[in-house]
Amino acid sequence: MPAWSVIAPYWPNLVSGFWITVQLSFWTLLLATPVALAIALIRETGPRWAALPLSLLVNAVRLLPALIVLYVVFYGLPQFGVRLKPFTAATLGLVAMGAAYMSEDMRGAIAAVPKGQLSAAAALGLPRAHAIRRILLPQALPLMVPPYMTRAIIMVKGTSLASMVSVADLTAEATRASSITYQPYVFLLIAGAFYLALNGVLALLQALAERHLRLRYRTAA
Amino acid sequence: MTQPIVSVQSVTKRYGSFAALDGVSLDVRPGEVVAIIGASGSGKSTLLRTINHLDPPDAGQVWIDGRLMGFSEGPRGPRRLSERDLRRQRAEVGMVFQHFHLFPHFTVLQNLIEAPMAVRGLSRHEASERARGLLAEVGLEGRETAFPAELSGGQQQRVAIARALAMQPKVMLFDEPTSALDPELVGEVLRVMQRLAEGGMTMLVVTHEMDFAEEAADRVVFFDQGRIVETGPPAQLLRSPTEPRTQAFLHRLLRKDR
Repeated sequence: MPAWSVIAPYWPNLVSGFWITVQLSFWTLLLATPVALAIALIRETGPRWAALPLSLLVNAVRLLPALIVLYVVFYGLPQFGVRLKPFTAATLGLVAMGAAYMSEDMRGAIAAVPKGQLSAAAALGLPRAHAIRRILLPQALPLMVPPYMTRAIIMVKGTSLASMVSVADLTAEATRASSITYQPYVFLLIAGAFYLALNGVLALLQALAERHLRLRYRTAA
Repeated sequence: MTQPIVSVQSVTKRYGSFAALDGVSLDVRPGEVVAIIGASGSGKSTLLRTINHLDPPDAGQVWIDGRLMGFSEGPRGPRRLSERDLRRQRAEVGMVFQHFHLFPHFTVLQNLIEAPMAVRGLSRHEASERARGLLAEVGLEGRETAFPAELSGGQQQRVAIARALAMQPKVMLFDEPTSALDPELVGEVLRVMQRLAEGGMTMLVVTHEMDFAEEAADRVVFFDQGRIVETGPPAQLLRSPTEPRTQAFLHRLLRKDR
């Protein structure tokens, strides 16, 4: 085990890299979640003219490698005069990827709610938005949580791709320290521990959310 | 002759090239109970879903209490209603489904007050009072806080009937209300419907319960291949039908029962 003296010079960079990773994760999830939910709802309950282009878009994005999408945003957009900071470009690319996958997870949960529920709401005269908010989503939510949180964890890990478009995130700082010191294991282990801690929080949130939903929505046996 | 409260006029509904309804016309007077019988896939359920425009007809018109469903009277003829207005109009027609479709994440009381509050603008207090009265009518007083999963099928269907009645509809549509129930639970639901009929509610009931049709209905309508084949008082239609297709259907049904 190398001495602390090897790690110490790079510790502040690792911590700031971790902070960047936390921010990337935060913004990616914060922006991707509502976009994904909107896509899923429109594709499941919206008019066809809106659902069709969205399904094309989702498939285009989810069938591409994430790195290609990031490169397109980072290197491609400047060709059209859109100049973004690396952090912003990475966030945009990760949101696009994440929202595409996430909308598929959510769509599955929405489709699993029996169609008769919306028929019954319509027969009672409930407005469509009301029926979606009060009848459909509360029943889809418990089904959504496990795949959503798994997707969130995958997206947090996916933020390491930002290091490829010159964002100084945790992965970037760890690999940089490794290559300068010729000590690959120690810095990658430290980075791993940081990722583990961050995703551990998400896994914990998932357990809490599932417990809360079990108590709140006693759905049909 | 009183004006019909439901008037179905030459309604056609297609799914692809299949005509589920093929030019169906039917008038129902206020307070009348009409039993609709026929084989599965003959268009009975589709007729109910076109009456309240859950599935708008491709051609023809439906009038409820003198108003054209799905349209408003404009100076230059009828205009198609917005989704929102259509839903408001649909609230005048109660519907009970084969599989109840209670909201499983709501208590019995919440199931009954959601629409009266959201659509009719009742306060929680008013809606709850009305709901309690209706629960007593269907024999479920004191079950306000139960969740649907805690009730038997017969109790769930009675809650579903109370939920539809909470909107104070002018007409009630029943789509095979007892077909999903265990045989011993059918009676309790039919008794509630019978009382409702005696109370003067206008009802269209798609059913396979010939005893109910015979006792509670004023008129029986026999459906086959998207058309009304024969209609008449229960005693006549069920015992001495004139059309060969009606005879064949009833014959098959009786043989199955015995």
